[in-house]
This record gives sequence, C-alpha cells and structure tokens, in this order.
Amino acid sequence: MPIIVNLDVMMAKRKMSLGQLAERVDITQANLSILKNNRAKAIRFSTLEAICKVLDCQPADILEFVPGAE
Amino acid sequence: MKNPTATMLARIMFYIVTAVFVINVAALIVLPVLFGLQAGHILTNGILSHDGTNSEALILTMFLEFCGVCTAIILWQARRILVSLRQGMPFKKENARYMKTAGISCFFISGAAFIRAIHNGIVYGVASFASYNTLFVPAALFAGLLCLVMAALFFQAAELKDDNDLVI
Repeated sequence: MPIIVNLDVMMAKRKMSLGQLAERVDITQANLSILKNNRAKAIRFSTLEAICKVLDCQPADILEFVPGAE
Repeated sequence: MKNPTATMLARIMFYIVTAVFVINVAALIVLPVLFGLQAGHILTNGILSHDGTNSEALILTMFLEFCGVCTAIILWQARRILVSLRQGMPFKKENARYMKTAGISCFFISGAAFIRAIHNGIVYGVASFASYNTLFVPAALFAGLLCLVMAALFFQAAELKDDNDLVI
C-alpha cells in the first residue's frame, strides 16, 4: 500500500512502548500492531487524532505517501 | 458485539436442531430395519407399504433414506451456523460454505423427489402427480436457491467484516 505508517519512528522519539501507546490511545495492542505493521486498510480520524495527541505530533509525522510501494 | 436476543434465539434453535438431527439419524437407522421386517412379512401393514409389494416399499425406503441423509446434512450445517451465532460471530466465510452445502443438499432432495414423481407417473399414471411428493420438487428447489442466496450474503458480510476489522 502506498501509505506507510511510521508509528515506530514517533514511538521511539517519544520513548513510548506499544503497550503504553495502546493504553493511552484506548485501542487494543493488537490493533495498534496492525497499524504499525502497515496491515491496516483504513484509520479513523478519531484514532489519528488520539495518536497525534498522545505522541504530540502531526499526521504527516506518522503517515507517509510512497507511490508504487506495496 | 453480541446481541442478547439473537444469542438466546440461537441457543433455543441450536437445541431444537440438535434434537431433530438426532431423531433424523435414528430414523435413518430404523427405516431399513422396518423395511426388512416388512419384507420378511412380519409386519403386514406398515408405513412403507403402498400396495403390499416389496418393490414399492424398497423404492420408498431408498427415497426416504436418501432424503434423510440430505436432511441430516442440512441440519448439521444449520447446527454449525447456530454455534457461530451463539458465539456472536455470524459473519464468517465458513458460514457461507455451510449454507452452500445445505443448498446443494436441498437440490439433491428436489432431484430425488423429481425422479420419484416421474417413476410414479410412469407406473400409476398422470394422476399420481397430484401428490405430496410432487410438492417436494419445487419446495426443495426453492429452499436450495434461498440457501445459495444466503450463502452469497454471508460471504459478502464476512468480507465486509474483514475489511472493517482492519479499520483502526
């Protein structure tokens, strides 16, 4: 999929683990893992908002468009 | 998300379908025994005999056995679907496969009823078409088509659910 999720980069910058982020964003660790590993098909604005609030970042810091990527 | 009403109804239906399945299997075992007893002239009047000849009883027994096996398959598939309903996970691709199997079994029942109707028509004349057996042909055919439509619905629902599960 051309949209790449760079969640692990932001998590490393903020020194936050997957479990901590999942708890603060109020989604399951499994779902967050799906998002982090680029297996998600879509993301809700509410989830994106929650992640950006917790990680104190912009959506562009997490989402990247790479044309031709699979 | 579980629906308590649907779960309760599924549980009731599960017990009913299981009971009917057990009765069906018991009948499949008892029927040839009844035929054997009738053929041995121990029972002179039984549900298997039309005019007392063994060949008619044999044809009827074979028809009932075949339909009984198909019905047992249908009931088993229904039981499997009801299990998933009780678990609160009805939209699975497996349920589409179960519905398709039930539909095909319905077609087999319709085919067997059709063959028997033709046989009766040849042996007893056109008047024999005005019987309950002839009704099985379109009824089972319609039930089979309905099952195939439900199978397609279940499949599409399963795909939508899979997509939705990947929306974070």
